[in-house]
Amino acid sequence: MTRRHLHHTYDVKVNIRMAVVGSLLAVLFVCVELRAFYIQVLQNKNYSRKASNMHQRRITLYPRRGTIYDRAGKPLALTVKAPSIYIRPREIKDKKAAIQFLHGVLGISRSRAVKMVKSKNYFLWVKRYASERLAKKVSDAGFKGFGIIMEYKRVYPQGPLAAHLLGFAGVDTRGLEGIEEEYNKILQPDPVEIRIEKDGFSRGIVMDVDEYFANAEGNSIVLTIDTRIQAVLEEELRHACEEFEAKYCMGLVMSPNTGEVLAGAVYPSFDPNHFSDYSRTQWRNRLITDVIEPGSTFKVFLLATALQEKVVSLDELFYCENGRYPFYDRVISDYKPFGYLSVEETVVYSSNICAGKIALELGTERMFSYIRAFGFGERTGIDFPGESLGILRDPSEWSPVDLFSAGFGQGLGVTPLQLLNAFNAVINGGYLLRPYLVAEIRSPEGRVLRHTPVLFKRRILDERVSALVRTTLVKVVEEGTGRNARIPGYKVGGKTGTAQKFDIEEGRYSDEKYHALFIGMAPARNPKFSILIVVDEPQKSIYGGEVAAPVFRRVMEYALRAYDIPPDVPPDTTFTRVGLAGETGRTYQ
Amino acid sequence: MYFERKSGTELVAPLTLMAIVMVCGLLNLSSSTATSGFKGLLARQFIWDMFAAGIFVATAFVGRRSLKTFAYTIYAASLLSLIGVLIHGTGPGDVKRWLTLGPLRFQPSELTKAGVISVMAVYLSTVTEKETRDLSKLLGTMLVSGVPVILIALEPDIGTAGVVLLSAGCLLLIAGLNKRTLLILTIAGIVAMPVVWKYGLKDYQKKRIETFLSPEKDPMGAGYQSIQSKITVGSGGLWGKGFRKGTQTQLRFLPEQHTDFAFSVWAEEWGFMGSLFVIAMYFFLALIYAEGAASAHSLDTLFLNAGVCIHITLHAFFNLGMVAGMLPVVGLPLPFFSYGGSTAIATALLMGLAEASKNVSLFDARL
Repeated sequence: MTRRHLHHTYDVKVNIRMAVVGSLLAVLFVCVELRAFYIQVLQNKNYSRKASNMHQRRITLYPRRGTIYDRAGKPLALTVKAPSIYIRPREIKDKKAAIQFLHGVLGISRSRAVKMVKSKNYFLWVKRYASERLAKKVSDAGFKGFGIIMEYKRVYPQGPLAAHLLGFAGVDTRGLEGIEEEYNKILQPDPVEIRIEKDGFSRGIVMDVDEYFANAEGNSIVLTIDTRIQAVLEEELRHACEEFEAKYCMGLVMSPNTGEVLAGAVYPSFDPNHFSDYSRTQWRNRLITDVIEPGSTFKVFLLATALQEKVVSLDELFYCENGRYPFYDRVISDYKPFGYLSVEETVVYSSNICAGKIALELGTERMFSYIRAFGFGERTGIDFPGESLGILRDPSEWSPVDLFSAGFGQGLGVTPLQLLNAFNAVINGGYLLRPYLVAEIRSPEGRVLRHTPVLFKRRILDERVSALVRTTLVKVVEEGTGRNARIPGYKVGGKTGTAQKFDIEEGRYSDEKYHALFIGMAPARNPKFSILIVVDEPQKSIYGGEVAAPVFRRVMEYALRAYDIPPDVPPDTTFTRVGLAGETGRTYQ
Repeated sequence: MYFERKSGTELVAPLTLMAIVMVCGLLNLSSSTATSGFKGLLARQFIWDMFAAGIFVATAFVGRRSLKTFAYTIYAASLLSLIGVLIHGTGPGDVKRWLTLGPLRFQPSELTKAGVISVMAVYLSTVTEKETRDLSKLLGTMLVSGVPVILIALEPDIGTAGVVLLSAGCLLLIAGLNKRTLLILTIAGIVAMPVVWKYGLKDYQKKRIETFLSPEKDPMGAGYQSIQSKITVGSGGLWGKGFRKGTQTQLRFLPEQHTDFAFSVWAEEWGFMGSLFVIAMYFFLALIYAEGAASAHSLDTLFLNAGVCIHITLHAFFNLGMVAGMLPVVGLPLPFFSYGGSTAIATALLMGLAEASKNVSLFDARL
């Protein structure tokens, strides 16, 4: 049959128009087909990867972190297991009940709970390191979509003890401060990424990290710290800080012949178990990061330098101007007027004027080169993060006043660690050492992997000079400003310091704010311990001899006893010994 | 109304294609609902499918002379139900798309697709070609399609409104428009676009279009469905992951996976070959009616067959384009494949009418 009927009202063009529309429609089919080919065949890899990312959640788990011990093997930082609670929002059926559970039982704020449950994520932590009680509630409730992973958690069994040295490790047991940060790589094995499929999760509500880390464990670290001395030091610092209403107090105990740090503390301390409850300032290990003025303790180095350079002898006399000495634009004064003092007495009685005159004898160049030699203005190289350089101006900028006041420790900034380390060099025969905190690194099985050797940096003084300085320091304690540091039975040497704090706001030395310092050692013939005590802004007294020396004495006394160091003061020869009863004619009655 | 038909053999081809697509759809539904809780869906869909097939066959035997009455009846019913849905409709949120009649729920907008196309076809077949270029006649056709389009847009269901408008437009193109009218319409369309954007579209609709243009902007929000669908389809590969083995599907990453996005499940589990197969079924179905239009002896046959061809092609294109991330999320179902009865029945009805128009009637004096 022909298309008679159509032609009646429509021309042939209708066929053309149909063909046009038909081709357009055919193009649509081709488009869809090409698109399907493009994403299903050509882009398949790309989308498959995306798909597997969707249903496989990668979570990073951290193997067990190694233990930190003190030198006697007492654990200071341990890794334990703690339950962490997570949810898989997509699998939660009863969203309302889940929100109620998160809010009411787990203590998540309602708005956060709503957000978590409605999240399109596959996996969300609810609480890291939750309590066993909470974890039990989760597993008892048996909610679909809730789960627990037994994770590793860092704990500090001694609480705040040595907190400033240890630092802490946070979530994922990552070292964030202190030794934990410095030795993170050694303590913490590399994290492992685990792909967890839906099926992997469905096995049970509690998953244990041990399943993944049968043998992986970090190395252990043995510190040079002696917790007994550390505890005494911390207690004494707290005591002093409270007694003198000081801002903060710090103390450092070292072994002058090895550079080991035996104890180091800053009061107030913090509890690394709850480090986030404290401010950043409180975490700071001021012994290593803060810069203070050494004050009169610096006369120790002046004396050593002058003797080594043979500029003066111990008994050479200097005129101390009766306590008031106008020098250029400044007036230098002593805490009490002195006439003539020998070089030794200058140190023993701590005259600023005579010390400045000795510095003038030395001259800027020699003075500066020795200051550098003692390690000021240079990092000690201790195995601890964030060490400061100190502040040491270039000698070309030094005026005569600068040189003069350098003699009594004004105008330079040192870290407490630098100060004690340099002091060690003076008293140990002239050897500058690298201080260190970690004695040994041990494998998880206890094998010693690395033993830290004593690292000698350079020799600065002769044995003779060192001995002379030690004798002088003993006199400081026995006759001079440091009498509060005397310990019966031992020859103790040391030096007091009372440093005016430089007020940055006013651009001058403060009349009210002081650092009270004491630096010392014992036994004097062959010092086993050196101790530095710094008390910041003490209120009741400002003098190092009154504020810091007693702290020094008590800590030193404890250390000597703890290590059974024999007394070195010879018995009094004038005392007549009581003979045996029979010899002296005493008889039984 | 009386039935008359020479034989049922001509129905075999479209019925077979329809059945194949329906079987694929049912298989797919059993997979996509395997892990979710919807248990009764499979049986319900089977009943819908049988019902749709029955409607197709029954409508195919409608007498030629009743076609016009039939078309206008469908059209009137769809208009009434569209008004009804605006008053009594239900849907997610403020949206009103569903009309509940006792145990049945249906989408009037789906019926409208059948109504508009059939009425346009019978209407266009009564005017001569010259008259179609006459503006007053044109206004008539525009009114026929325009009123339901506006009603659907008010629900709001811009996707469906758009596809109805597009179908009507294609029919008009075949009927013939003069160049001036075409130009005016084109310009009017371009001018209307920003106006519609500003005043006609709701925020979520704008967001869908914006999301389509850059889905990665908000991967967890508005773009989620589009991205997920693309990932689901794309991860299927050439041969697919296997029946009920689609990880995206079984883990329910993909929302709406048994309704508008049903095809992405299919594409994931049966791969490109599976997609090709189903798309080919739609292509053949469209081809049957394209051929029906090309070999038509009367204008109503031509327009009805062309209308079915357009209807099927546009639905396949928009749904698959959306599933493959090529088009914005427009919310158009895939007839006979997606879960639901309204679309299947409307499409079957339309197909049946096209078949009926080919009937040779002993009583038809004009042939």
